[in-house]
Amino acid sequence: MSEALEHSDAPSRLGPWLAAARLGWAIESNWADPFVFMTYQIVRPLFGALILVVMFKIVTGQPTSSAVFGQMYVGNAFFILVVQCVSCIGLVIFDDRERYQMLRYIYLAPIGLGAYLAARGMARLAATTVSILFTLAVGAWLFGLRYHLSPADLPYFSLILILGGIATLAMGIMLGGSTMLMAQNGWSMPEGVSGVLYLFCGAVFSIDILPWPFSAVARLIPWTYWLEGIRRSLLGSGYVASLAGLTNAQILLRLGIGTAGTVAVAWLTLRFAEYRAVATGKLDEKTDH
Amino acid sequence: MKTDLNTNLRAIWGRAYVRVVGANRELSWLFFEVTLPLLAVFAFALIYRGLHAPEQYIGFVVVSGAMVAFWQNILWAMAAQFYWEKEMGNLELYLIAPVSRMAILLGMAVGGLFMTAIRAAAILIIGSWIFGVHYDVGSWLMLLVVFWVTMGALYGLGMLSSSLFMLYGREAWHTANLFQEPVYFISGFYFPVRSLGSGVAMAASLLPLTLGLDAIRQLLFSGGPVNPLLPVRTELVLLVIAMVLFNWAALKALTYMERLGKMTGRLTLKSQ
Amino acid sequence: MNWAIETQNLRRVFRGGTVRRLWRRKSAQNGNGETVALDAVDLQVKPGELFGLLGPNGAGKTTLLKILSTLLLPTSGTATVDGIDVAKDPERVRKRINMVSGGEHSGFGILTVRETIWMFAQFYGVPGRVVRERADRMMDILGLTEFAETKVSKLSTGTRQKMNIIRGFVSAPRILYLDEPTLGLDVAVAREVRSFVRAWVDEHPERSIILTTHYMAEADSLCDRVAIIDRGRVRACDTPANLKRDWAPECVYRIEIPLWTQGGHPLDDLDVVRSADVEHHGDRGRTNLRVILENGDGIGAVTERLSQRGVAALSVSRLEPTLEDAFLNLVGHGLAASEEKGR
Ligand SMILES: Nc1ncnc2c1ncn2[C@@H]1O[C@H](COP(=O)(O)OP(=O)(O)OP(=O)(O)O)[C@@H](O)[C@H]1O
Ligand SMILES: [Mg+2]
Repeated sequence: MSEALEHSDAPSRLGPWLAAARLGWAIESNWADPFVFMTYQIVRPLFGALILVVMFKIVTGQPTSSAVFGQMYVGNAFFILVVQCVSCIGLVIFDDRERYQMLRYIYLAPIGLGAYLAARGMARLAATTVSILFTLAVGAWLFGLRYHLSPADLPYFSLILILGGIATLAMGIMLGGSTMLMAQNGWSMPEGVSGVLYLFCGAVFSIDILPWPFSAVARLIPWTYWLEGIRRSLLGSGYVASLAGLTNAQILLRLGIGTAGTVAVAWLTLRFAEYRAVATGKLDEKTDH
Repeated sequence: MKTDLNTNLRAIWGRAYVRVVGANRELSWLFFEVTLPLLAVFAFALIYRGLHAPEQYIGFVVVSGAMVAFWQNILWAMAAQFYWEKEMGNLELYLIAPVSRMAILLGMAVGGLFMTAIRAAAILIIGSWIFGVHYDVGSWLMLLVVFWVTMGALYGLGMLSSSLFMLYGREAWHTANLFQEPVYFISGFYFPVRSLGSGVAMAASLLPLTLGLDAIRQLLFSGGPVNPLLPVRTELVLLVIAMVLFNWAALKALTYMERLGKMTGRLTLKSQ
Repeated sequence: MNWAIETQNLRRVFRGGTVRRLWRRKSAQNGNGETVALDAVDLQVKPGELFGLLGPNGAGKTTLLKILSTLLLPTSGTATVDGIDVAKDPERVRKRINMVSGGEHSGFGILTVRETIWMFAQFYGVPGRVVRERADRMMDILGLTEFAETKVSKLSTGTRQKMNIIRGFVSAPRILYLDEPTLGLDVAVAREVRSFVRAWVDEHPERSIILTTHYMAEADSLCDRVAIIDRGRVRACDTPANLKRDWAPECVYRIEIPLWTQGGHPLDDLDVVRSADVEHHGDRGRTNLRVILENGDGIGAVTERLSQRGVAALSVSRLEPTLEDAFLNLVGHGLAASEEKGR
């Protein structure tokens, strides 16, 4: 039995993956450092939310407990996940390449870059959960938001969250892979992508105000349905008027399809980027100025 | 004496050159560094549209988008710069050269300012065009003066942070990250800073960005309801004071940090 | 006499702490967790001299160069460069010096080689035309011309190091510090660099260079005088020839015997043998011994022991002592470990 195990190549296949995952986790969980944790997980998201509060107040003059504000606030809170996962995993390559010159060792060691990125992403996901919970709590406590998550909604809500998490991770890994091919200026690319997603998925304003070609894109990406699902289960009503005709199950289905598509594109991109990076020798180039 | 001045001027130009040429050589920079702030502009403008805010606010957001470019440049390419160059090994070479350290910092500032000005102009033009922002400039001269004084104060602050960050490893990176949303909030990037209440707004005026932004908005939209913090002239005086103060402090801090570093041996110690 | 460099009773102590682990070898550390990197260092370098610093890892070589280049303050004692105190008047010192370190990653990946050299020369106020002339000549000598317009990020280690070297020379400093300048260079390139360095000093009577290295042969062939430093103290300072005469053991022999397969070597219990290096050449069926004897008479005892053991001495020859022998004698432990450091 143990003989058979030793001779099968399963452990040797899994080993590098685990090693990559462990390394990624170890690096990423430096958020255990209180200063770093406060900076990224608490202070920045909090002030991002505060900016919204002031904008809402000065324009509408309404109390923050109004329904519209709740929709804005919750969307913004959950979007932290996209911002952090996408820009974090996207920047891993620059982080490692420019500052630690470590990328080539990760790459040379037979551990998958994909596993490494995924593990860092998971660690980030965990940290971001804290930010989201914190922001939601601040919303309830300071701004009078009310969440109505009934136990019956819980399975649906969880499914929505899981699918959205997967899509976001895949997006991050895809960017991580493609920044490999870029010079230092590419370090703003992941942030740019999360900015684009912010516009298109209606994180704060309803996608209905987007002009035509953009509103069509908004209906293609999974995050739109992710946020709609979250809003429906957490606040009891959806935000986007033009999606009001869809049942909860339809929202879930579209999210599922979008997620599958994102994962597929991410996988292909990563393969291609790895191949190109080796072919063009971009792995450990330094381009600072 | 004359040769010293000459050397320092050459040093400024030498260090600025890297930025000017370097950025042009990687053309992707323009695309990303213009697109990124523009995305933020779009997002905030659309939020205001969604809330049916007066068009004026969208103008604010566009102007802020341009100013964000400068702030980002201060954070990433000034404050954190000496630290990064220490890691690369350039800092030692600057320090053994017979030039003032301020010349090197000025070189970075001039190069950064030049490149960022191009970027900011692009953001301003594209943003104004897309959202049809209407400007109503009271005094162009005043606008220029306020802009340059604000930049003088901002880059002074950048130079000051640079020497403070110099000795503090990777913390520098995180600290620079910390100074984003909180600064956008208290300096009133996306709304008139007065909305925070005069007390908070005055406290926020310690950052030259706050007053600069407020004054520039007053001058650009002289007709409409800007909700100004202080009269432009008062703000200008305060900005001039800030400019002198920050640059003086930068000089002092640099001398102090260098001495401290030379005593402890941390000046040339790399963290990797 | 006006020395190019003079240090008096120079001492530098580092407060201990987290950084210590960065260095492989822990040097003299006292009870308070302090590291004495330099201790009572008295050195004089003449104008026109190419002066070598030898010492094991952590000996304090780089620390000394940092003090002399105004990057670090002495804890006590004084150091002067061209008669100017490095602690009191660093600005004037800086006008006279420059520095190149092995394996340095200075510059900007985005600039070309020529631009990099030009940029650093600007910090010394060298006019563009002059930089161009000097850089062109030096690039020519070092065979860098074809890379003049290449981006620095695309250079190999050796090419990059050549650029660094030119970067240091182009400001025409009176006193130049070279910290392991040939680190990581291949044999041919290292040789080019050495002759370039030598020629530079020879061209002008008042140019001086201080060079640190771990390559004994380099110090021997290149330097006018060499100081051997260990744990922050100067153990000896003289010309390579004198160091060999005074410190290298005189009785070094090379003995060739048939391949020795029994482990150790056949002379291991002989008192007159101070040390022996063993080299096996299985393909030729030979073993070479390099033995250092206590005295010249010992060779008789050696041949006797060999014949006792039935080992034929195929050849015996007396060797010239090397600087490495002197170094080992003075420092008391090999560089073998430190040469592997591969930094
Ligand atoms: N900045 C510093 N902080 C603390 N200790 C230091 C610092 N710089 C050097 N040291 C210590 O001083 C001692 C001398 O170091 P130094 O770098 O001068 O050695 P070196 O002779 O150049 O060695 P190598 O051959 O490895 O380059 C070492 O023990 C080192 O740990
Ligand atoms: Mg050294």
